[in-house]
Amino acid sequence: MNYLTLDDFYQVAAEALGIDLATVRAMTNDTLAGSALAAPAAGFGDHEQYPKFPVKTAVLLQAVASNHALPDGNKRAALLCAVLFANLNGYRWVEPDADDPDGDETAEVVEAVAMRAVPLAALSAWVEDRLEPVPPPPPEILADRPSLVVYPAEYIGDLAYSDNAVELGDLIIRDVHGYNPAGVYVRRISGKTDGISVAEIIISVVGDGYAQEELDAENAEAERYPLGPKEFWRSRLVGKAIYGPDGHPMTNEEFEADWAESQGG
Amino acid sequence: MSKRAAPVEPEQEAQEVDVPSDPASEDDLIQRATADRSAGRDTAHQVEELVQLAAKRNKAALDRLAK
Repeated sequence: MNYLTLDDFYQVAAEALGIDLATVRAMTNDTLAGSALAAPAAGFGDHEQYPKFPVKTAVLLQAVASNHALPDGNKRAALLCAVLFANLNGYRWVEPDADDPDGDETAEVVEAVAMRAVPLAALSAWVEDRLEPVPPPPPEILADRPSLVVYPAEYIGDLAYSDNAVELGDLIIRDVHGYNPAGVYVRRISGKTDGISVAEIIISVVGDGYAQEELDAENAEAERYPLGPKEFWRSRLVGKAIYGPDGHPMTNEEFEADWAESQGG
Repeated sequence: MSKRAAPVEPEQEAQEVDVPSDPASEDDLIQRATADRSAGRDTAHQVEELVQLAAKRNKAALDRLAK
């Protein structure tokens, strides 16, 4: 709950009386004003005397109008305080269509309130008729957010696993199925603002989506290789790729044989 | 005795801040003021705008109360 402060009151009084803030501060009885502003928050411990917002607003209107913190203009200040209090707590103050457009009803009610001639329950109902909650702002949609930059996954290295489990320190990832070892990739995802930067760690085994994604990217790169895709793959695999049941580095002959087989030879 | 500043006409002060005239701007102002006040941020300028807006919206009633 956002209660009004003395500075709020000075602003209201300056507007109501058409005078500057310094003059308002000099002429305001701060004790009476402070007492009126605190009235809606009355209570004891956790118990609020006026838990409902329309009642709090009515109490504020009544207290400012009748406490006479200003030598003049207390009723105008009371009305503006009620409206400001509503606004600072997420409400519009809207006169119902049934009200006279010339402000007669509002003025008559505030006059009566200043004379304490309106019961609090009736005033609360009158206030409630004028409070319209401002709808909350629409949720931020993804399209309005700064776009993220997703970088291609970078190959970091291989990770051996046994018994279909990968151990990363204390972390054990089970049910890893594929050819040993698994490829480890890191994909960086960065936001253009707010310093967002996260990394996705991919442990890839042959046959899963990530391996295929990387393979597709490598095939595209191979097609662009000046010496042709065969030489691209030779440079990538011979002496580097682990091959065979004993895990030896792939030889040139093995590469030629595999290449011929992949080309339908 | 300190010298008091000369009274300022309300119309004169109203020119100092941009008071929203459409409901969407008013809603936005109310939302921001409510959120900022709840978060303990400075709302002096927003209060000034809201008070001027309230005075504008309730001018007829305020004029009658001034009589």
